[in-house]
Amino acid sequence: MNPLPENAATVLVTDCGSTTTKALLFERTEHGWRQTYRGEAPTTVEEPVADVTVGVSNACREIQEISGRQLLDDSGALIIGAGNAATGVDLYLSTSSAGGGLQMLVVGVVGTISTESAQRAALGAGAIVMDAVSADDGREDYERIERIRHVKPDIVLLTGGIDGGSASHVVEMAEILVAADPKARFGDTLRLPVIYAGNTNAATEVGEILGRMAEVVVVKNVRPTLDRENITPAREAIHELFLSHVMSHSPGYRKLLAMSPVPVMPTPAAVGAVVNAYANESEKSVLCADIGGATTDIFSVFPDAQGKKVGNRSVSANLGMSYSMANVLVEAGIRNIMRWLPFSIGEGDLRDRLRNKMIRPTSIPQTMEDLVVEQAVCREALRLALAHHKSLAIGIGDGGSTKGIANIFRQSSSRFELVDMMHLDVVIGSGGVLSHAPNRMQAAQMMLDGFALEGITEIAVDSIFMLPHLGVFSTVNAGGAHEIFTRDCLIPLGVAVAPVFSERLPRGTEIAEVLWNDSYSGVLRVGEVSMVGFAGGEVRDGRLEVVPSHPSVDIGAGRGKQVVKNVRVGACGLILDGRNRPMMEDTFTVDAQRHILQSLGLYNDEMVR
Amino acid sequence: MTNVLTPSLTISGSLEVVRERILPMIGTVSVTEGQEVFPDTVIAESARPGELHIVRVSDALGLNPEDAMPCVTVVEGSKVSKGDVLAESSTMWGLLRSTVLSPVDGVVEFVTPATGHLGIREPSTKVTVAAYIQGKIRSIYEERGALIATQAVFVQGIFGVGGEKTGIIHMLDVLPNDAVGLEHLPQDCRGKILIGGRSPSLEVLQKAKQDGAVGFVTASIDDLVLSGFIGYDIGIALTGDEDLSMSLIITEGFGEIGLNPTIQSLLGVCDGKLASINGATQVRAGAVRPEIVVSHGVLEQSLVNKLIEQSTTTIDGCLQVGSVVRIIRVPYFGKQATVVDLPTDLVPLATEAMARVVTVRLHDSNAEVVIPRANVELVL
Repeated sequence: MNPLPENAATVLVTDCGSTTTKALLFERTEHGWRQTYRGEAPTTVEEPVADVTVGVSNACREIQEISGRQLLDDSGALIIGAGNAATGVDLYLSTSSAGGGLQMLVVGVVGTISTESAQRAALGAGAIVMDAVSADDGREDYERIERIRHVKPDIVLLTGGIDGGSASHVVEMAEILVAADPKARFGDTLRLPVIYAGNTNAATEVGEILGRMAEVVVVKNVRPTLDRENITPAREAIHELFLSHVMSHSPGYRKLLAMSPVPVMPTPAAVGAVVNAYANESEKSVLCADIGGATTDIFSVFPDAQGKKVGNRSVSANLGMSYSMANVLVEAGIRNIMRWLPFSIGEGDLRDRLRNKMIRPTSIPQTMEDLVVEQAVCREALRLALAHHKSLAIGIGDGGSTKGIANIFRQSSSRFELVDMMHLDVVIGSGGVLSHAPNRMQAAQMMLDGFALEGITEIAVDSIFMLPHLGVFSTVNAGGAHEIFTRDCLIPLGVAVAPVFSERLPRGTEIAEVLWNDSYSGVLRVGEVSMVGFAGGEVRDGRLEVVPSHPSVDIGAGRGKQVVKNVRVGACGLILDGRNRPMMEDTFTVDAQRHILQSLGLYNDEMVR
Repeated sequence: MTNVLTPSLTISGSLEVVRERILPMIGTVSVTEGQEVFPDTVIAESARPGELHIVRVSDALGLNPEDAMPCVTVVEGSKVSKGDVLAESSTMWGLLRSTVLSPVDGVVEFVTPATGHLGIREPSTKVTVAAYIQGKIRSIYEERGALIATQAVFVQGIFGVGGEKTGIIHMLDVLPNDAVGLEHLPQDCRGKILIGGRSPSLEVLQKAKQDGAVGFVTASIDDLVLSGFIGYDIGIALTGDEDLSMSLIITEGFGEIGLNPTIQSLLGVCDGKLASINGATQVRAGAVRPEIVVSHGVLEQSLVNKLIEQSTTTIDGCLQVGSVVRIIRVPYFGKQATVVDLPTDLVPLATEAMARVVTVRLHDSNAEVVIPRANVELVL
């Protein structure tokens, strides 16, 4: 008999990704909850297999072979609740982004009001937003209709208007949806699910108009007033429809859903759950990047104007390290990739290398030069993804603003970026290029450069890409998930100290002194990057003090003011970055890059010596 | 572990190619089961609903929606022609009249009192789906299309641009490892699919296109030449919709890699024959690769018999000692080699990463080198 999910002692969790299904075994040991074994196999959502559970069984088989624990029966099915401590597992859980994940279309009235809130609701629910259409997006009706038709979403989220306000605009957007008549991605017979989360006064009329072509679900307005956002009901409806419509129509998912007593979570929603829980528990502002082959997800938790923590997520659907590598080239430009290289390379050669990775996405760097090229692309992908995230992670209102029509015209002034890099406490990197970098220092440096970290920031990585698994596990056992997160998942690397200074100072000028537990540790110099390591390289907590030696230097407390902060360092110790923000142009030369890489000992190769 | 699965591209002299040809909406199927079809045979046709035009009646009359509704002179389902009156209002005891006219021919699909808007749908347009390949109808999808099957010479490329095309194969007079130049193009390119060599310049591609070639198949290309040919940089490897009169298929990759000898000889025997090609590529899950299909129906029977006899078909092959592989990453990119060992343990690479590797003997130098298994693909 299956134990209750919260009492399970052996839990198998899979993440069914677009290309790979990753299985992890979580076990309650005498030392508490631990992640013990890992297996992976190609995802089998596509033809010819077209059954996601085959990939799940294959990934479990790898764990079975490594661990010696019988997980599968003769038919290849996962044994759940055998009542025998040595056989099967007590509980099976899963997340999924297979088949491209949850793809949504967002439709609203005003781009910076209802549409933006709807986008946050969709992203927070783990969706990829294929397009955001609004009445003020500058497109003609026919252009909107063509675009909506072209996008084959799983779910549409329609919003617009404040409660009690004019209904006509949102009804008009419903008419445009009817005119476009978008088709659902899966299943010819499936009526497209449309969530209406707009002006409650228009709900009946919108329902009547859309009822001809879609299955309409009405929830509370995401923007009941101009200065209030209420995205939780829309998010819950998205999750519900994801399971009842999208998942159940995907190949093999009915079987997968039957294997677990807990709903399958969209992968990004699971990662978001862990990041939010960590931020709340640690009382830190957090930025987390999951950089995959096709997409890069960014999660952040920062306080809003009232000091309340707000979680945000963005997905840059075409920024990634394999399938999307050529798109990073197109979006960043070849010069921006080349600027991170410590050697000269012809533009044609570099372009061809990136294209070859795009068409053969599973290949890996064999030479140090090739590794450095990939890591340069990673820096640019992170930079672009963060810029995208900042544009979506927006705070609304100032708490006491005047309501009414005047506020419509004040919207732009009452919106502010939530992401404040100078006051970011922890950055976490996840995804193959960061989690599996041959040298952990390389991962730290990619995040330092790509995100252009400012002030004092702890840098950590997800050890083996475990965040999705922990996210869904946390829904049944938050304590167990937390134990595994801190013991096996989160690896503290180091602490970046990166001041911003307004004056143009000569290269080499000392700008700040750094003390660790009241002892002198090093100095920051203009244009230089250096590392202060600690014996053994093990994780340790300490008191970091940074004292500016120049009045224009800001480390987070204001110009010329010292900062004291309790931080956790790992193998990379303290990374002292004197390149200013935005980074000084003369750091982007081959010689300067080589000098930086040498001083950090990043690559053990003649190329950078 | 003595062997592993290694993905590769399909190259076969005799493969059953099955293609589903279906309409994007319900329609009429115009073929029957067992019927022989040619690339231009119409399989099914349908009528695509016309564009919907939203007419803002209340705005046009300068009235509130509720005041505009009584002025509307049509109802849902009314047939209207361009210029017909949809609504009219009069003020000043009938002295001033305002009218709203239909912008198009069509049918009134909706009238919305809340907005004062009308929706007029234009007449439908004809949509057809052709066979694309020569073969036989295996089965019919009622009201949607059909499944076509043919035994064919089949070659997958690694990347392409441009959609489905049909033309006559013309093997270029160029060695597999040589760059294609203007001097290699035939006098008459019209309706031809040009095949051979590597790394054509932009000038070569543009000349072939201008002269009427419908396809160009070559081993490799410079990314800058590709961008010049299509007019922009491709960001996402999702192609096929480019508006190109000549589709382009690359069989090996970007840079300067020679044409796989197997492809050269296989397509060489099809010189002068009708082929169907499609440059559409989608590298993500459920990968779509560009293809060249030459139905056995266009080849002499003696050649077909030979192709069937020689054919080896593998989509996911097994890598083992003795397998011939192509290396797909620097520093040996594009070279062919034979597998001599498949060590089981992880091995440190020059990058300091640990990886499962394969030891191979390079064909050009006879040197033995160690390569990550992820960086080889089987040569079939």
